[in-house]
Amino acid sequence: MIFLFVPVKETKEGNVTVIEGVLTETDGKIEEVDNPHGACPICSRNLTFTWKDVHILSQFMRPDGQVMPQQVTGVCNTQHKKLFMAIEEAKQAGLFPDHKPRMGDVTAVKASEVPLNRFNDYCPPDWVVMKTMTNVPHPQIPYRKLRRYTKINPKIVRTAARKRP
Amino acid sequence: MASRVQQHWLTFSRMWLLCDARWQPAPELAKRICKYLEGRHKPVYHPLTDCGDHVVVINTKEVAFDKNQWEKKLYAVNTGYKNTMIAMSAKDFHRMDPTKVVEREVYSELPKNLQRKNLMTRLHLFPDENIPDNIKQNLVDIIPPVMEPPKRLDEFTEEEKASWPRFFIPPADYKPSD
Repeated sequence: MIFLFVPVKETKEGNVTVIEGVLTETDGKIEEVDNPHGACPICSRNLTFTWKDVHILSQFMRPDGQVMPQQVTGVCNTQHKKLFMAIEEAKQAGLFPDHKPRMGDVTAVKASEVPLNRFNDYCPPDWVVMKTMTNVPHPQIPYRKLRRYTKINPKIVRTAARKRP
Repeated sequence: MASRVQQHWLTFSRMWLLCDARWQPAPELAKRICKYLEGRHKPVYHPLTDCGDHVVVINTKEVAFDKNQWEKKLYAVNTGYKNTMIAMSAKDFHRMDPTKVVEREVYSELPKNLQRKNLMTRLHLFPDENIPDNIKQNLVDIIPPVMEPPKRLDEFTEEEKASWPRFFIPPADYKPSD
């Protein structure tokens, strides 16, 4: 089977830069199944996926890090919603380090806002609430106490935490 | 005698177990470690018997939390005096000492009695895979992991990526960068 892709090619000749899209042919294997009712590529194969299944999720992603639109993939509404959630969970876990928005765009995020050098996060499979993705402060602590907590003297913590036999 | 358990020499001997904390959820890992520290996996277990094992935990630098717990979770210390409660987020606490989060989770999970500090002395934490030789020669068994660690996309080779089956073909005119 022939798999077509359009990478952008830049060539510089003095002051002139030429940007062009080149059609390239690469080999891609497709599992063909009986699909009399015209179901979407995920429903017709009875696939189930989680945030760990990188080999499924990376096919439906742009290099930007977003999901491909439904007009391109042909995925139904319910599976498209699951793909969106699973990709967001996998991106928080840092499984797609190379899928970043291009720098210098208007829509791109600034380099200072991207949380680099994070520790390991994971998402349980039952995670549904999208609101928790943002870094919300602790809701149980009122603002007065939070001001007091943020004054940290690391010397005192170090001595107090190591009080062990 | 009802049972011949007490006649055997090795019933109350301490074993040394290895535990890998890479990509393991910290609170659930602590529950599993406490089971082996107290000796609840043995049929001889009784809370008054001292039949726990040694647990050696490696790769504590790569322990995991879910959602936004690195920013949300606070580890507090109270010195006993008024207005001296100090709290630090898990991210700062982990950055200060990478073995401290696992130690604190296990300490809070153990039963709150006088035996707790004795059990904590049998917990050996290492941030990396490097273990001194006097501990390595004692190791007997491995504690099974809680969660299978996921694999990043750039860790796969290109031969593996080419062997994955594809589910759809994008049209030839589609430009995915936009």
